[in-house]
Amino acid sequence: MQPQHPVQIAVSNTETIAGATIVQSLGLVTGSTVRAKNIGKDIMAGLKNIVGGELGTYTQLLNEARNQALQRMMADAQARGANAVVNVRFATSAVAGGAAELFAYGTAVIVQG
Amino acid sequence: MAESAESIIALLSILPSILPIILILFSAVYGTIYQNGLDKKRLNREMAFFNKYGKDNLMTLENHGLIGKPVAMNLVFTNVTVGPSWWQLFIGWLKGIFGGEIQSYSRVLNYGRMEVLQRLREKAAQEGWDQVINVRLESVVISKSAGRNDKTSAIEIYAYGTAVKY
Repeated sequence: MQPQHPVQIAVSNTETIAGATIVQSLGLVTGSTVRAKNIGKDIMAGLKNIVGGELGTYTQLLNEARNQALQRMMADAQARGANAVVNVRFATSAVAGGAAELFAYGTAVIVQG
Repeated sequence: MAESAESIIALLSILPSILPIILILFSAVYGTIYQNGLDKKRLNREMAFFNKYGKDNLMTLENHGLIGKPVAMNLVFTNVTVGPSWWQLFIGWLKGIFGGEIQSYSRVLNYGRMEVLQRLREKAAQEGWDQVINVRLESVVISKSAGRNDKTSAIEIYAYGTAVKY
């Protein structure tokens, strides 16, 4: 479920958070979304494929989807009472039917200071 | 009058058979011009960035202690989806028979990588961050749908890292 207000907690893909110390680890948190590209975007991308270069419609679609996966991960962390997520990693896999899964995971922690 | 109408009909009837050839020629000519233009634009943006900030703000290191103690950090990510043109696919297919480097694909992927890194630089700088540490680059082949002959071929390249402020 998409949170009504975007979750705001510190997120980084490093092992530490600037100016704070990690006092407790709350385990692994994940967020994922599977997005299918629609036929309109397919047609646009198909036409763009003739000349090559950037396929802007897919870029935008995947960017939004990745943002949502990240938001879900942050919501998961917040639900556990964390105030930061460290060592975040992204993974993407193309699944059947022209859809892609966007996945984000990290370690939810409580930081102080 | 009737003759010209007939010749138009004749032209229309052979159009479906010659259309792929026209399109692939269009792809070869216009696609090359277009991609050269993209490369040039990206290079100009890189030059403008280095002239403005004087340094590259991306690094793959995690140890920010090298530079200073950051006071704030946040995750940043950018992406780009690129695809080779029909002409490049054709050249790639030909090259695939003999093996060796497929330069037409390397070029597209190279463009995508450089572009996504440049976007990350610009995004971080625009949002007021001093440096992006622990940058990671990943890519994934999309739009290979199951059981369908999919004409599009696209590769998404994304980059992410932790933007820091000193």
